[in-house]
Amino acid sequence: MKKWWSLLVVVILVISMVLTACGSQPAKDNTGSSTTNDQQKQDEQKQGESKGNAGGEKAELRIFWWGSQDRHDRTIKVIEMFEEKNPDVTIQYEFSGWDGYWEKVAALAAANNLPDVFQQDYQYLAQYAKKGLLEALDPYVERGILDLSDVDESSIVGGRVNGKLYGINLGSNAPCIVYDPALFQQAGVPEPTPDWTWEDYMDAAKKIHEKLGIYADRTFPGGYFHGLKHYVRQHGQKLYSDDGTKLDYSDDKLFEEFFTMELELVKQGALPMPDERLEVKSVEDEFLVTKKAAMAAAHSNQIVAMTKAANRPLKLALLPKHKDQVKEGMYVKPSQFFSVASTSKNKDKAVQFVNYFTNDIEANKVLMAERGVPISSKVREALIPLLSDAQKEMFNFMEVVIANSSPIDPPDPPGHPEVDKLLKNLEEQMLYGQLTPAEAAIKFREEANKILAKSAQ
Amino acid sequence: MVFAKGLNKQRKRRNDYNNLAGYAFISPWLIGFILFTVVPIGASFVLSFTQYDLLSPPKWVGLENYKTMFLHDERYISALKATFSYVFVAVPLRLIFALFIAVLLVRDRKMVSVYRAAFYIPSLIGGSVAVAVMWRQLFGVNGALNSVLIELGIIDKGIGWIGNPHTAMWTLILLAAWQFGSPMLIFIAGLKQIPTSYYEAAYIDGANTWQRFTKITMPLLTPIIFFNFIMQTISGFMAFTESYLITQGGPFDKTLFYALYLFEKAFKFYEMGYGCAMAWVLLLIIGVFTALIFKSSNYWVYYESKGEW
Amino acid sequence: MKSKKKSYIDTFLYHVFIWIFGFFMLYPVLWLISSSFKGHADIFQRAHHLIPTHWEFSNYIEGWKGFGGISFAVFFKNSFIVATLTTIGQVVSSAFVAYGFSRIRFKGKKILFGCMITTMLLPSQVLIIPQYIMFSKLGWINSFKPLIVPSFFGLPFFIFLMMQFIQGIPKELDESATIDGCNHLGIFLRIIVPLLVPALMTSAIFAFYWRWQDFFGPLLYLQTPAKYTVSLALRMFSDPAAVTNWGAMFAMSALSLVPVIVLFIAFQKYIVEGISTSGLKG
Repeated sequence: MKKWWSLLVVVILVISMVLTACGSQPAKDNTGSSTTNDQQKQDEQKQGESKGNAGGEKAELRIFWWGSQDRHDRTIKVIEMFEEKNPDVTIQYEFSGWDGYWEKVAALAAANNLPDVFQQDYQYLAQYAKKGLLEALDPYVERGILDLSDVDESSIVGGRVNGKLYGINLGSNAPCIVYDPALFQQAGVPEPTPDWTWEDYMDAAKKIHEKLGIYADRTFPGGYFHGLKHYVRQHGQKLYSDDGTKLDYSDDKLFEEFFTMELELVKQGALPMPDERLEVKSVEDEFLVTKKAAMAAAHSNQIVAMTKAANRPLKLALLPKHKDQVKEGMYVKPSQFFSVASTSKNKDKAVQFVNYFTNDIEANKVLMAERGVPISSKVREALIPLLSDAQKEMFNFMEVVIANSSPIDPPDPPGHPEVDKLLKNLEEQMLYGQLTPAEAAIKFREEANKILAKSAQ
Repeated sequence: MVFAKGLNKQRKRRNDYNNLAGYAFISPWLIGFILFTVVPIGASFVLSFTQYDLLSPPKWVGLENYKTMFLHDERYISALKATFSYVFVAVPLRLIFALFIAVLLVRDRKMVSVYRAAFYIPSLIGGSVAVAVMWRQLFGVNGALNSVLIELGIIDKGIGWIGNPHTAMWTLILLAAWQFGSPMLIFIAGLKQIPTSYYEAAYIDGANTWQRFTKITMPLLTPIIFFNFIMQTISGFMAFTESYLITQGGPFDKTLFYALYLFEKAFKFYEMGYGCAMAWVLLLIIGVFTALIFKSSNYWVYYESKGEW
Repeated sequence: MKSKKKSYIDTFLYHVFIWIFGFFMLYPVLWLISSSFKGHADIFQRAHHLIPTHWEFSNYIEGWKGFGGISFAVFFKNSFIVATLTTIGQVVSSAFVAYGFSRIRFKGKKILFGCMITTMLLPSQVLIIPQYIMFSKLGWINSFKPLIVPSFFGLPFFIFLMMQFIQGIPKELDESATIDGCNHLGIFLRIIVPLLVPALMTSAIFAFYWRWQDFFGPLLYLQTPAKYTVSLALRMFSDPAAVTNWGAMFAMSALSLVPVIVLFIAFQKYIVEGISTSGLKG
């Protein structure tokens, strides 16, 4: 009997301790008023700064990125090289696949525990910057810690949010069309030139399908999203307004025209229905690679992977121009960024690492443009003799893009991922004949504006 | 009087002992519940009344999330539809499969343990990326299923089963039915728990296989059927991995499971507050179904020994 | 004679049925295994062929190397530590709780049981962030603790499962033990646990497997690659924009199934005989 009593006392003690010790604190952090949270953040920041200023000790950096096995190996190598050159820095790195990366970053942000340096994407950059989670890098450029003197402004601008630099582009690319020149020749269709138009594209697509009996393309150029964005830009407008609270283009005709063209090709069998597109799980079974189609919508850096998978020469083409276009629809897109967290305790070292990644030639010989064309002209020059054929095509193509492009729009607003999903759903409904392009255009405007307005709050 | 007092005292002591012992036995769960569960659950409840993007502190919005859900969110309605149609078809199908195979594999035959492993393996690869790749391969336009159907002359052109709005859900249901390993294993364990002497007695009384099944196996297995039914219903409502890996909710939200939409909202669109509100509505929905099944259990579940309620 | 012949036919049909049905069940798994032996080009272009044109063992060598100098040996070791401890924790603690709920009458039981069931009804996705914040306050990030420690506090699924099994055990057994002077601990250890073996083994199989294949927990809580588990490492192969080394991924996926299958075969052996009621007194 006594035994039981003592046990009970212990249990009650433990429970009450737990209730008072843990029950209240963590809950407060989640749900408590904003002031406490902000204060805490500030406090931590102060602490960090004082620590950073003290100097002398070994600085520890945490770095996080997503990617493939190849990228992990290359990046880790460069980190080791950096550590060797900077004995006062130790780097703890984490990596993951694309799956789960953003969930984890969100959890880290919620727990106020972001890595010092982490890879950013164009669709999330603005959101993280606007919440004050990222460090503006302009002062570091002024202080000479971050050297952008060999970088063209067009490669920097994508990392700016409200005029401040929050992300350093790790490699440039552009939405494009990858095509198989041999199949074009076989079909008797001239290869795309930098100034081919939508009419040229439609003709080419129909001819390839008729002559060769294969699909012309897996999706419409640029896919549903980049394609529409490109088409809207050609008409001198933007998809999203600058403040990201609504759609910017004023005329639903643009939406209608764009998807009517796609629908026409799908109806003729020159493009597959969405169910068949699903077959493509990765680069290896891309229709272009397996010769089921002559073209593929992609980003320019993907040509390296596709060529490797196809094992035959492939080439890059611009998205078609519009015959009455007001401006170029093409733009130079940052494939991904490195950003520095505003909570970092060793910001100088973190920026130094980003700088090393951007400008060091030996480091870039290891990275070998795996993340896209390096932004530093000196690095590019140093890499050119080492490039494979596909990489050369990519490097040359980016020159063509720069000559045929207009400045990139501001980074996508916080509501973008949801708008993207909406557009995808609408595209599928149009292709299955459940909505006409005109109806879809109205619905898109309505729903997208709702999403954007809400997420901008 | 004295005697009654003594009896009372004895009963009280007995109760005290039982209370103590009861709490001692359940203390691992109770402590864990208070330590690791109460706080997060409470937090999620409070968050359901806020707009919370994970990146900055939550903002109180009252019932806004709940209102939006029912009045202004078309995708939410699609998610409800998809989830209900999935639960109502996939759960019974999976249970029937599991029970059928369990009955086959409970016999003492050669190779039975190998067979059990074989039938359990599909459930082992359930959550991996490989299964998504494989499923798309099987049901793709040029996939194995189509080649068989074309061979048999049932169809003359390949169908993209996963991308087609009419069939996408069925591929996921089939996947669920295919992965019947865990309820099967529980059924086997349950079947093995039935005292062999009951069968021997029935055999002597001249009962045939069918009679033994309906008169002994089924009644004695009802607690396990009940358990599997409840758990499969719950996990059916929470089904996530299948559509996350294979269809991503497509085509146009035909396979948008509730949990997938919740996940999208919370982690892809960074609307954790809305996600929490969705979770609490789901809790209510599952709660109603679970309660109904519990209530009905009085009529069809047979316990060898009644619980001490 | 006749009945013997019939039983032969019976057995024959039984095995034939299982084989045919089993083939369909296992086809995708065979596909996975055969893909792990295929070269790059073979995997998707000759997808229906279960037998590779030539056997490619390099996938295994390539995959085993892992990432950045950390081989799969490390990932496997981590998974073993986490999964084994989790399994022990969950099964043992759940058994105690299940006994408490199903065999002892105590105050507040109904409410607590209701609480337990309710915790199973809330989708885990919304608990991730609060839990993460909690564990990070405790300083448990980048250790196995968030994955292992909570498992020593029982899992509602197993508790409920074991309860159903305990209720299948005749009450008379307890009563006779009480007469013999056993208290609850004695009844639990001497009577219930031995009869609960099938349920315990079933739970152990699930517990091990669930932790083994869990991707999200390790993703959130483990930071240095040297602590990564197999399930997490498997996802490191793929990036939609780059070449995925599918062969290596399939090879490691197939390999990651081996421990679970071995464990299954080892444990399911114990789900053998029905309760022998000869132990029943009167």
